[in-house]
Amino acid sequence: MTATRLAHGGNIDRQKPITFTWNGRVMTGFAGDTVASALLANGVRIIGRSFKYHRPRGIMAAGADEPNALVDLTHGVRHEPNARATTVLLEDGMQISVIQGWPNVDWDIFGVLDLFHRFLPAGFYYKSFFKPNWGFYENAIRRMAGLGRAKTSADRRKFDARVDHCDVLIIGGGMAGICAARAAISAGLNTILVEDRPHLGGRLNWCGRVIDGMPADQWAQQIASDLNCRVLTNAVAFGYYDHNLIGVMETVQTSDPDCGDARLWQIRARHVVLATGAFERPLLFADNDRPGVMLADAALCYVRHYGVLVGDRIVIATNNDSGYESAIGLAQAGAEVTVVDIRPIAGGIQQRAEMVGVRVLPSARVIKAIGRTAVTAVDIRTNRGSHIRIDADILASSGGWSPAVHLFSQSGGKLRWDDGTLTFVPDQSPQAVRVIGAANGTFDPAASMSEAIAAINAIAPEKVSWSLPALSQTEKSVAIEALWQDPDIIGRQWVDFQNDVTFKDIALAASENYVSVEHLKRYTTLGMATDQGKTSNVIGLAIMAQLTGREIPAVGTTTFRPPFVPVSLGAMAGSRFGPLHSPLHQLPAHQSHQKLGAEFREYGGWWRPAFYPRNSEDAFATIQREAKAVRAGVGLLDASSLGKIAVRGKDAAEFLNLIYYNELAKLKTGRLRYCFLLRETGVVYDDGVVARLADDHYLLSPSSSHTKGVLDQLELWHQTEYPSMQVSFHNLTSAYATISIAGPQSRTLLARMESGIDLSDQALPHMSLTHGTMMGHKVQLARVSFTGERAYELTMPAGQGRTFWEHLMNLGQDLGITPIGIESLSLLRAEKGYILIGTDTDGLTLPVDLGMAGPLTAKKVDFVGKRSLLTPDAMRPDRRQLIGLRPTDDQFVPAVGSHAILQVDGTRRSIGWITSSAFSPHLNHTICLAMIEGGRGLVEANAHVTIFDRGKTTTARAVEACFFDQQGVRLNG
Amino acid sequence: MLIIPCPWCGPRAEQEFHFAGEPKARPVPAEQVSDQTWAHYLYHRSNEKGAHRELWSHAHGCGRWFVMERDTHTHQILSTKAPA
Amino acid sequence: MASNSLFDQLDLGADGVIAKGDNLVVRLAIPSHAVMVSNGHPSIPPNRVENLSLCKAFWLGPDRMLAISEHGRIDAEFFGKDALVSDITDGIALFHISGPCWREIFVRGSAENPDGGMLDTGLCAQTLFAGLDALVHCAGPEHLVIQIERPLASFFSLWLIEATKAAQASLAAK
Repeated sequence: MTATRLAHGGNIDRQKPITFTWNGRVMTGFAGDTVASALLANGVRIIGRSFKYHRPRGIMAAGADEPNALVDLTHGVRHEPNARATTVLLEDGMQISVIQGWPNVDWDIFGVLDLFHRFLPAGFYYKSFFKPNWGFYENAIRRMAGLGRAKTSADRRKFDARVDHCDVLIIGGGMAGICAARAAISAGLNTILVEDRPHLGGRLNWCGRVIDGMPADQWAQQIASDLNCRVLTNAVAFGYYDHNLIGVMETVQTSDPDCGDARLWQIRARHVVLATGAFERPLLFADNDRPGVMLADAALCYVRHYGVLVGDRIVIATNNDSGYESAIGLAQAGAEVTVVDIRPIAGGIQQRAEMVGVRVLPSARVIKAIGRTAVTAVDIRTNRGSHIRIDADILASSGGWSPAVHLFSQSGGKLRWDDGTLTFVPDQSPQAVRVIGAANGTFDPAASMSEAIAAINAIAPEKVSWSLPALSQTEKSVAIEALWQDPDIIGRQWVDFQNDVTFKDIALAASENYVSVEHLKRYTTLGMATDQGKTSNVIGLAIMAQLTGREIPAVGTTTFRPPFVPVSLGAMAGSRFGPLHSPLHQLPAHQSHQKLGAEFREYGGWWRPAFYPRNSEDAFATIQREAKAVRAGVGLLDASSLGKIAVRGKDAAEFLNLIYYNELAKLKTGRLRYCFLLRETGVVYDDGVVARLADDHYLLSPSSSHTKGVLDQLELWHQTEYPSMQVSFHNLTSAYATISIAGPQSRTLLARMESGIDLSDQALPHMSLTHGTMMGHKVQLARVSFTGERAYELTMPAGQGRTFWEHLMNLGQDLGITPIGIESLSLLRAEKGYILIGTDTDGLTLPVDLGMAGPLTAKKVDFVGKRSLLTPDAMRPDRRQLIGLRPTDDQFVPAVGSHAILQVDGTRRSIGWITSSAFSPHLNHTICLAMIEGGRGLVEANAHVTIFDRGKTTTARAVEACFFDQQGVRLNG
Repeated sequence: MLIIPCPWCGPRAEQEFHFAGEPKARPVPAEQVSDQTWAHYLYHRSNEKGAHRELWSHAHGCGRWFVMERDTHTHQILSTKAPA
Repeated sequence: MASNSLFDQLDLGADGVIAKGDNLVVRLAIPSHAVMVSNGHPSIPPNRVENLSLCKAFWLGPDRMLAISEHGRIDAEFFGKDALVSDITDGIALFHISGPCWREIFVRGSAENPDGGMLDTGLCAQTLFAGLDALVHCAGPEHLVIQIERPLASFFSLWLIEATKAAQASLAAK
């Protein structure tokens, strides 16, 4: 007998049928169904195969706690490999299939693994697969175990994300949450209510209670339509973060293929009220994982909320009164129901159940589920020892309720164990949060409602103007009796269904001394699956307590971490991929570079030309051509991304001298100096040129990627260490464009720009600057070079960047003017031994390693990092030093990062590595820069080093880190 | 995701700020500072559980630096003020 | 000239409109003149924007303000003879978000509360918007102005187009 859809009842719309497929078979459901309720209504019993043993499994629960019903879901462009069938709303056209089971879920070939279960207990993989090595087994194991398969095509949907603020955020739209919302609105509080199901009401939708004289679900809908605040349904609060920031993932329905099916909310609330309810626990017995075994409240939910009667002969195992609620609902729908209660006496509800035909077996317990691919019968043992077998198609159990304390715990809240209700309940939290209702261990409806009002009263005293509705009289109840595990039961009993963890695994962990709850979790993997142990954590730790003779609170719970339910990475990314992945700065002359066919790459947050290919050149050819063109004629580089920080004020000189490594107070006006900025550890943080424009006016040129960092450091030192100095910093980087003109013809080209500026070497020597006017705009002209050729940097307002670039390109046609990108620039500077911070240097490089020891002895003030340059480590003679290398095979280009190896007796060790490496078109051989221990000594000795490059060993000669024109004739000439 | 009260701009989200660790008095002059004192200044931190003094900058806001007193256990921010 | 260059790069018409939605217009503009001023007067209280005769002056820090003029030039002497004035006109891009649904854009780019006081009349804020360093203020009712550095204008335009689409879809679903 399989499940049936009832003709009436349930919060589904039978006027709106929905067509979908299950493993290719066409089926029908209704608006309001979840995938799970629709599958059940269509008679599906086996929903998949378990993770490790490939045992057939059925749907167990009706919400986020479902461990078995993970399915592969496709709907338009949306694909989810592990969709939880119980929380996905059914939509027309959905294609759903199993994620495990070959050739099909009913006849899974890997089901044979279950026969070998004795060899596959928890942690078996720590004790096997040693020979030959893990890699030998890995592929096979990954194919056999595991969940769904991800698609390999890109998901280009953009997901919406937004922020919201409120006075009070209520999480959970069940009875307690609804009452809190109503009260909060009456108190004039800016309120948001978040509910993970499509409608408000929670269990009110199937509990069968009467509120204010009407059915509870009706009462819930009435209040819902009246709620004058922001209500988010289909929205799960998945994370509780610092200072009351809550992460909520809202499911949105969309037919736009570019639009994601979720929206991320970050809600900052002054107060949070958690009304998150509780999760029912199952009871343990042999083969309790068979299809047809489910949670009692889930069975009730399916019949009353979805109109699906899961079976017609139902046994309900229980240790508390709520199992009878389910019995009543199922019997009213026409099923033959037997309740097996471990307690001798139940509460008043037992009579109500018997009045609708429920048979009750007190002082008895279920010990085994009979049936392989489906439940067919139930074995029961009474307290007096007699055995009964009942035919059944559904075996539901209720082992008590665990308050959903996940968000509370994430807030930093501590839990305490209540022995009376067998629950972990919220205790104290450092954040502004209150917990009400079942989430607080309060299961009595009247008490729950009062808690809701009290919570709002505490937030807005004497402002609440809403009174509680009338509840039907509650009957006498009898307490829950603890039954974590019956030692007399023979047979495997599952605790964590999704990760296939059984009672025996917990016993194994205990016997191997993995007795702390954190070890229990990680050794057995209990609670580590996508359901995060919602139905298994408490049972697992209670069993561990029993096995090790401790109280439950002494074992405690593991740390609760977000997300509460799986959330998609796409939804977290939002639209931050592709062009919106991270902010990229564009150069002022961007379009000019585009027109020249530049290949762009990201450098330090700027989108810059890497090179400008011509015809069908490959990258190598282009870069070589550009580099040659600079040394032969003239090249143009867009240097607008270089930092420009104006440092002004009467103490500018003294201040900069305290910050920079090099002497700056004595720098003459109109002159430039190449300087290092150090960290207090002495490490070179940035290099760049500093220009002095006037006594009290300097211009810094930090590298593009370090501009903000340098500004931050200047502000730090000024604000914290030297606040009395009068100096201001203005970041001008974006406001001006800079074009670098480099090559023997650079001056010729510049002279063609009418400006009246004296370009003679006397007036404008290397490392000097001046100002003038070109094309009607004020410009700055600096003579400075990063290529080793005569070169100038022309700076103009950014709005003119494009115009100047195009004009210079035109003027230089007959000079063979060539636009050059970062790649050829990098080659040119390497030929001269000019370093790149972070490429030729690392987090340990000091100025002395780069051959710049001068300022340390010359400068008397306490500049940043000075003391670190005087430590024993800074003065070691065997420090790595920057040198050049000429590989013996001068056409071989070693990889950057290749190590220089020293062989001493039988051992080899690294004495440094290659930091820059390229084939020089100008010199027609390879040039390398490297940081090598005692490098300068090796250069003086004309020594060779051994280089290890990806398995190949070669040699190279240590040389000066400047491969031609050491005198700088081309620079200064 | 803390809310941090910048002494100039008021409460703003944590991502606007940059954390720079415990502020230490800078030992000067360099010639008179021992290796131990300097190492202490560079690397030793008190690592308090509880109220902790730390330097922050409103890097993506006004750019000002300030000293915060924060409880490292509960993340409660006890005070923020301009550097002395 | 300058304006054409930026508008050209972003493929915008002369009106600078980047995106439109129901009750929402997003438009780019550039200032006529903009300067950063230190050591000058008047002295502006933290996070305030003052309407001066020649320009709007925004507080940037105890020792720094930004003065922007949408039409005409600002005389350097305006701030006093000891003022340190840097022209940064070409480094600024101004994005105007107007219409009753301006908040739909704001809540997608900012972690702050649009009604929490930061955008009250006469106030401005240096803050993170869409992951960018921005200066924001309300120039009038239902009129948000977001200022960012010009090299990021292209990125921010793309972001605004996406945010407008998302805002539209979310409003339509209600």
